[in-house]
Amino acid sequence: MMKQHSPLIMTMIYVSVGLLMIVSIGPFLWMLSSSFKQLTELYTIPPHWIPDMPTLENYRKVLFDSNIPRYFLNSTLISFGSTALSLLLAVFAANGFARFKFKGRSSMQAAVLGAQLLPSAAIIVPLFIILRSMNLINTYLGLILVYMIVTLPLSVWMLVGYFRSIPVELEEAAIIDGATRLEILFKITLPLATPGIVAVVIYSFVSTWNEFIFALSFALDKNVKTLPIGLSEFTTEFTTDWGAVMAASVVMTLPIAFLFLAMQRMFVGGLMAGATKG
Amino acid sequence: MKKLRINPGVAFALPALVVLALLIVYPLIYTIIMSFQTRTGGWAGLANYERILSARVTTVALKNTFTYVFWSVFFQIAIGTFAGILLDQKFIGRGVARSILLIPWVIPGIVAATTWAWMFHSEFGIINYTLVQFGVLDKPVTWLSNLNTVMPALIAINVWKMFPFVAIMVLAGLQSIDKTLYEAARVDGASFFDEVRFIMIPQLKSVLLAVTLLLIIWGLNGITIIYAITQGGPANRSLITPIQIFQTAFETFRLNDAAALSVAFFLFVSVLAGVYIYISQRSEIE
Amino acid sequence: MKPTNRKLAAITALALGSICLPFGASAGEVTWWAPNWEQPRVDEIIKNFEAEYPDIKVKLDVTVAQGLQNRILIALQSGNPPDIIDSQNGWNIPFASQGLLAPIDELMANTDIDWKDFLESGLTTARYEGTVYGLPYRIESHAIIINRGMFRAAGLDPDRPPKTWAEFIEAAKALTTTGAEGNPQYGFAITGGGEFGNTVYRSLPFLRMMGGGILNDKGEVIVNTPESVAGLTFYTDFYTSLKASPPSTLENDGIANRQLFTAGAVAMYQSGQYDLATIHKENPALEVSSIMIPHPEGKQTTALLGGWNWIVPKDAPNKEDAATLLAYLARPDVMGVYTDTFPARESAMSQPRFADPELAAYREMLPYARAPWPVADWTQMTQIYFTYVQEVLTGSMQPQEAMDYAAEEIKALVQ
Repeated sequence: MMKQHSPLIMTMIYVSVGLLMIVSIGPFLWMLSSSFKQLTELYTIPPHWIPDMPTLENYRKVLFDSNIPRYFLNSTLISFGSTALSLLLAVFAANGFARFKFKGRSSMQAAVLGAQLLPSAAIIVPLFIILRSMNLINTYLGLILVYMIVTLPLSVWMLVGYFRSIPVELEEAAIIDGATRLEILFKITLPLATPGIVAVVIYSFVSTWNEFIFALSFALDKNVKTLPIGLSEFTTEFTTDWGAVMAASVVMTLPIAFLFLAMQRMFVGGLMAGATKG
Repeated sequence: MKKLRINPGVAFALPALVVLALLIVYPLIYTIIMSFQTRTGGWAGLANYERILSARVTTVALKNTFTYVFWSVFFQIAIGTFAGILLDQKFIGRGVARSILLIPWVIPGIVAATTWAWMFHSEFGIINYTLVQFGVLDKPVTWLSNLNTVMPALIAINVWKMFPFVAIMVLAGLQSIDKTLYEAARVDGASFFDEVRFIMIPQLKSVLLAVTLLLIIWGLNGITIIYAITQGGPANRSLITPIQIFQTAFETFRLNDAAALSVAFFLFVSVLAGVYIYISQRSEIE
Repeated sequence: MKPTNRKLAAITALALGSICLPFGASAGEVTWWAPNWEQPRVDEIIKNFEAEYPDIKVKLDVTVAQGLQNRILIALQSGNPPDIIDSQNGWNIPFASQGLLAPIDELMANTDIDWKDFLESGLTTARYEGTVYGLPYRIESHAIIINRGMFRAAGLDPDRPPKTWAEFIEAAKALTTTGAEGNPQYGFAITGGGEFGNTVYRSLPFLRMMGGGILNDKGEVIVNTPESVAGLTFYTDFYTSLKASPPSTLENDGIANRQLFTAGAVAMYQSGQYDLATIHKENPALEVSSIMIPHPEGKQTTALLGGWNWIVPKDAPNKEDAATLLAYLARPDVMGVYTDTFPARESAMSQPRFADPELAAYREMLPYARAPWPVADWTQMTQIYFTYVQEVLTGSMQPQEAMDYAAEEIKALVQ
């Protein structure tokens, strides 16, 4: 905001932020603490926050003695791939829904959500059959395609909302200047919608990064399995190596948080930068 | 505009629609067919529907689903919007705060759920221990097995997990608000709270309406948290319909019953979503 | 904004350039799904097998416990399954009843496999309507694991453990006290949470000792008979009235009980022999032994037989070589190495690892362990039963009332 708040409001802001941070990070700190604990210290009564004998053994196991590094690569490629593909499809679709009037528009936009209305338990087997018929079981492309069910509906709907909030006058001016539809989309609409696109990208990345049930069902090979499957590999029939699971979770979580730390600068309003209105 | 050309809006939307249709049409048909079959593939008529829809547990699960989704979405939107507006303000450490806020959402669902179950545990749990230590409770509470606390505890975990998503979407929505609106308001002597009420919330309306719809749909299909913590227990008190479907299909291997329940639930949710979209579009036009 | 443009292009290229790795099986290749805890042994076994049968290649896919049953079911349903799958024996009959499995007895007809050497209760877990659809390789029974130190502290002799229900209740009461460090200590932890199998395997044997259960031999529902209710009451009383099971009982599965036991909060709990190694590792100081599950005065003890079978999907692409591999795996010496607990055939039992004195109680329980009922809807019935056990544990229903409801719902399934 351009204006400084009064000291009272600033105090309220800091207190609220502080509370939110504690709630948000509390369970993560517990994970972090557990990831440095030894086996004998994980389940104690009473529980304690600070490990008595901190160890790096869990991290050593995760980084050098498990499939996690390989799965990290797989997850990265699959999440990038599905984020990019869904963004590409969603940008066009959202632009179509937000900027054009045509028959059946709102029912088509509603139909986009259809894919998320069927319970995942019901669609796994038929999806497997589709992927197999396309020879895409155990491939990056197969998972990327399936993840469109997860990422695309939201991306389309959110982008429609963000696109609509951009004043249409800007685009009308460009049409008069003779710009094509694509030029308008890429040169005017998208730059102005950067915060919305960042939000959608984060969403797509996070939700595919953590997806378990599709990955479990369609990636059977070490070369394609993703990180959530890697976590479940620390569990055998009756035992779970919790220290390692917690260490692996930290390894899974921190890169995304840092990625966001870098990206959050793009949350500066597009309109402010252009000072275009009027 | 040439008359014969396909509307560019349709052309833009088509690739996404085709991809989604490719992924969903066959599963939908497959599920519908299964719902009318017997275990060994014969014709079952409506028998599967009758059996699963008349089961006592189905009604219980549907009621729980309503409670769970309603309160989850309510608090996710409330806290998420609050957090989004908060993180739009200028203060020291804002970038770091934004990243930390994202953490609940970024932690893998299964791990988050297990960690919470661990923290809530009556014996090992740090929550009971801390509350007893500070004298808030005089003895440990069995959060996850007490019939009165299990649902609130699960809703709290679900809210914790998803409110950052709302905050991020709101934060993005706030950026496209025309800054001249604030300036005009200030000239009129508006306070910060007036700005929130008369500028931010109205301008966020379309984003919030869309986010609410998506949260409802996810809530209606989200199983990870409850499944990993209570598996619907104790005594079905936290059983929601998507978990019932999952268990019917994959734990008790009654695939045809699960298909019937899926189709019924699909219709139900579709109608719900349709009504919501209809109402929200009308209110947007007004 | 051109950078956005370029970035988009780069991301698109990445998406389209993603590698495709289609999987296909060649002739002479057997695909085998084995769980991750078998991995150290399975690699060695495959190496030896391939040395003996150079024409057959074994392709191993490692599975994980989490979501294993849906992964198997998806593969079976989709028509594109592997050739051999390690499956919990409880899933064998449900899969077979949907027509998803190949008959093993037919498949192995040309091999020299000796079915008489297999434990009958193990084969029962694989037999559906007279045909065998799985090859049992691992069988096990629960026993009761006790903390010897706590026994002595309570004035009990760990070498003369309780044998009858009455003695067991007395012991559980004596062991429910304040522990060495001032924390509460519980005598006998029962399960009431987690995946429903946990509580089914732990509570149902008590119903059966009294002559109750879910179904009788004629397939009639008997879950609400006085015998069944007496058995269930014995189980749930440890939590509801005796308070000998910890407050978290409704949250706890077998693993949670082990953790409570390891942390010194619990003196006795039911489990399989697989827990012993974990306890030794996580709390080496604990003095542990196992005892047989107590029985009502004048009646026999029993347990539910747990274990694993190899199954061959109906659509398996290479059944012929799968049969060869199965015949090899079923050899007493190989099966004896492969099983995590006990082998499913008599002649493999002679391996020295099964004579470990620590395993005595589990070995003695084995002849008393009976297979779950071989009906297609067994899992569904036990899930209903479990829901009403939880009703009893939460205190919202009395055992008789709860089992009446359970009987009503289970009867609807039988019809």
